[in-house]
Amino acid sequence: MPTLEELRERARARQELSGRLKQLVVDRLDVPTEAEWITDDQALFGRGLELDSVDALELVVGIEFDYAVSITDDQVGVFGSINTLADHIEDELGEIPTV
Amino acid sequence: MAEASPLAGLYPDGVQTEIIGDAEVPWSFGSLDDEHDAIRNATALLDFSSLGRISVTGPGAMDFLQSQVARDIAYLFPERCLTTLLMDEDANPVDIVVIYKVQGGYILETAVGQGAATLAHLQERAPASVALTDLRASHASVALEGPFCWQLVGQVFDPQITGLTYQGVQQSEWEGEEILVSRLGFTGEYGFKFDLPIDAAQKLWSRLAEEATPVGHEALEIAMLEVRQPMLHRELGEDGNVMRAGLNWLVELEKDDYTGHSALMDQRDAGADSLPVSFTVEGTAVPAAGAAVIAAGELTIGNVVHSVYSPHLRRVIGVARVGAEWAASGLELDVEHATEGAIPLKTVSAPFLIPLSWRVPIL
Repeated sequence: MPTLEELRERARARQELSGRLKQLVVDRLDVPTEAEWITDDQALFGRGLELDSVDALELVVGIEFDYAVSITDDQVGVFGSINTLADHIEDELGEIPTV
Repeated sequence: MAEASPLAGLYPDGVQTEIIGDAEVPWSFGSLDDEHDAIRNATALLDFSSLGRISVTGPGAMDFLQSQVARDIAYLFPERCLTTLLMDEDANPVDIVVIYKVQGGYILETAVGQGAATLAHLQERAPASVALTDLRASHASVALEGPFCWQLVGQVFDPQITGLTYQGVQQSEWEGEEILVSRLGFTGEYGFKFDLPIDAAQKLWSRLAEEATPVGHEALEIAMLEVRQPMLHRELGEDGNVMRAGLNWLVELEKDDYTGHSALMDQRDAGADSLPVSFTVEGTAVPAAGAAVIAAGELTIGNVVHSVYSPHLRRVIGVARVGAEWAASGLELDVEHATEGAIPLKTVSAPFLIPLSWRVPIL
């Protein structure tokens, strides 16, 4: 069973990663909201942020640039939410990146 | 007193009903597994007559709606609908509404069982230049959802309707009756909703039931939770607010003149004290709403808001509200269960599944 400190540290690291991804979305896609207002599990496409396929391409480029992590056409689930994007980055890198 | 659906007489034998708000809804038509499977793998037929429908007309209609909802409707045009939040002056969420621009004004569609409450809320605030009319006495709503529902839509209606984009709206005709069609879904799968006079809705239900599976609200709510489509009557609770319930996406930050805005901005500036997280649980025991979520076996960090067993995922899924510092995916925790004691819970990322519709194109 993880300790309180281990859980606290994981939560902190994931929140930092989610925060950076939200900022990337706001900066790269020019969405009319603030990064802190985006929630971790809200839909990115369709309802929620209402992004489109052009936005998806821009996000792919941004994530490859910032994290050296690629997203392929068949990985549709990656764009479910900020959380699923963060999951993908964490899975590909084997850890939660700190920068 | 809850109202039965005008389509209730057409339900197949064996239907179980439930009361949600002011509506008696079909809860189950007999097999949860079959109904849920229809949503995720085939075509589900849904009776949405329990959604409130309010006509908003008069010279002050647009200004009034603008003053009430949390997203800008100034540029809403008839080919699109918009989903947003209605709040009271203290920023307490009242309803999640869908707004349609129609000839002469707007139609505001409420959540399940919320028609009377939302109408009363609006009537308290509407000026004399606005007329609010409850349309449920004359109209009903039938919907199809599922990765292949567009095939049936193309067979029964004008095939052009299958080309509607998400949130697209089209006035159309079916057997001589005017219908309002919207490309909306609540489950992450393709969805088409048809609003029409009650007599025609009854005929349409019978026609669609020949080829689609009638699905009750039990299966619908599980499917909605699987993609974190919010349900205020399940997820708000007594102390819920916009941020605690994760409803931020229904609010446009750039809009600053509507009921509840000032109080909401105060809440935002103060920061969220607790936030929602998605979770799964080991085993099949479903933790009750209010069950404590515990970290490291020693610290209660939050409570379960809503959880269900998903027959598609074959596991328990849910939403909890935890202290803001703990709101993250991938935490291994425990949750109290009345008979099982503490059972392992893990926070996970939503959506809980990838809807088949994301991979199946409309042809």
